[in-house]
Amino acid sequence: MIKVKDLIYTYPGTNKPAINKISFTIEKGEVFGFLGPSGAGKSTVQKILFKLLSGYSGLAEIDGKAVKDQDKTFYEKIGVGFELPNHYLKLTALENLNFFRNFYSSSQDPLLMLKTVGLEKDANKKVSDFSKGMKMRLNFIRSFIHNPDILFLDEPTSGLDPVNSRIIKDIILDLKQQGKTIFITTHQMHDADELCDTVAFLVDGNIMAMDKPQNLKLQYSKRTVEVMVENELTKHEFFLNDLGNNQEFITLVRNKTINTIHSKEASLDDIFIQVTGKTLA
Amino acid sequence: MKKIVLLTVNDFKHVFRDRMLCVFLLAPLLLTCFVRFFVPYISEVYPIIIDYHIYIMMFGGIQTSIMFGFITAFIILEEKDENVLQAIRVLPITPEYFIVYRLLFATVFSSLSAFLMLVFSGLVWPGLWNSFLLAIQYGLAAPFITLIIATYAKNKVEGLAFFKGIDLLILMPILSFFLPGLWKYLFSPIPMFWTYELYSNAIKGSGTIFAFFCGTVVYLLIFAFLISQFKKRVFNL
Ligand SMILES: Nc1ncnc2c1ncn2[C@@H]1O[C@H](COP(=O)(O)OP(=O)(O)OP(=O)(O)O)[C@@H](O)[C@H]1O
Ligand SMILES: [Mg+2]
Repeated sequence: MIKVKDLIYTYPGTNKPAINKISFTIEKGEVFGFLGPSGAGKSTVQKILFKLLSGYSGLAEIDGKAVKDQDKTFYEKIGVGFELPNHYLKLTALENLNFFRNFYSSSQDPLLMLKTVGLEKDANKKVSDFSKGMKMRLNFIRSFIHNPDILFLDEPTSGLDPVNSRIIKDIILDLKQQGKTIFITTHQMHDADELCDTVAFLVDGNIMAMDKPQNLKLQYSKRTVEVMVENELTKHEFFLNDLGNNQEFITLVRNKTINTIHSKEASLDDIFIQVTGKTLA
Repeated sequence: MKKIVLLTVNDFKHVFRDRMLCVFLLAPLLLTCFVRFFVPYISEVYPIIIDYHIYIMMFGGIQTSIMFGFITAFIILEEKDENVLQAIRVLPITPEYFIVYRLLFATVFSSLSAFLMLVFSGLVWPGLWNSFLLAIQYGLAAPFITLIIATYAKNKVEGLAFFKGIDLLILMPILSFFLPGLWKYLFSPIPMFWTYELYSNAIKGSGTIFAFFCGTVVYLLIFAFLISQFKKRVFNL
């Protein structure tokens, strides 16, 4: 559905490429995520794919057609949620949605959409009176008001409190259920872990690792279990392999009162640091 | 057509919700009242002014027309500021469609107000046919202003400064009528020179098509350049 090969992009007036020969494919119905620190090039790749940037080299294809050959009907089938809110501040939320949706051949009921992100009471409020989080939620619903097949979401949960972040993630999961292809960027590993079928680590315009989150975790985890028992300060650590036949482990769990047991699988955060030598923050 | 209505309604909402743009919307009305009522009154007191009526009309007409150019430019500057232009770029319309729409918006309303001013002022009547030609030439001043401000001004404060500068520039060709011989053609690269020339010829009863033609050509050349600049600088195309 989305195919990128050997993509290189340098911003005009700079000499260092922002995107340094990256390749990846996103299948239909897949949720694909770019995980990377600020300045990694996540937004740049997305902007190339929805034609806000031109002058790249390499291949960037959507539905078997190079993005530079796509015409305006392309925008009927893709939806874009920008990383920063961009609305007409003097118009109300509803007026904004109505303005944008009327350019499409079909669209959803804006009031219902506002309701899904808890903005129904604010439908007739001017966007200039919105908080950043409210504007971001408005951005989010506008991105798929025309029922696109492919969605680009640039940091959809940034600036949101945990409750609203949860709501947005549930909607994304619901869109995935509907078979949409979704390309998200984030620097929150929890989001990537939870939402993405495939995640790519992007640092300085390079993809450093790319796989299913479970696979990455398996690959980089220590595969041990850590047990703490009552009245003892030291932790006991056992290999997961053949744990059922590990006499030391069995004796411990039989004879002691156990306080905690943890398998030591790595979080995407840990893996990111291991692979790239950088932190996500 | 539906999209044009949508865009136009949206633009007018912006004008009506912005105090400064509302003032600019009122300006053509105030200017028309000025030439309709105040100029005849003061001319009775100081009859010498009658000789200058045509220059007053040249001034009034161009000031009326540039208001819509300025309003349109400010709408675009705001869209630039709020990054709405990005959102518009991912709508199923081409950038050219959007640019042409905005320029037509400016032209149509400014031609209309210039025409109404010529009709209602009752001051120096160039005749109906010439009023049409004049209104078109006056109207083209609006996209001229829009393109310059929207392309080169970084924000609204700069936009206002540009506006004042351009305003001076486009009034300058009126000076050509006070220059001897062929010196007046010094102003001919400024498209408004041909607008004033057209007006003056109409009043003298000489042909107006030549001035109309030259004005249009100069405008089109300038627009071709400015539109390519706008696409490059604002739309990164
Ligand atoms: N308009 C621009 N002109 C020049 N350089 C730019 C421009 N936009 C971005 N860059 C550079 O390109 C690189 C990638 O930027 P990009 O916005 O894609 O990062 P990002 O991964 O989306 O970061 P963030 O998480 O902060 O949104 C950065 O080094 C940035 O400085
Ligand atoms: Mg970004």
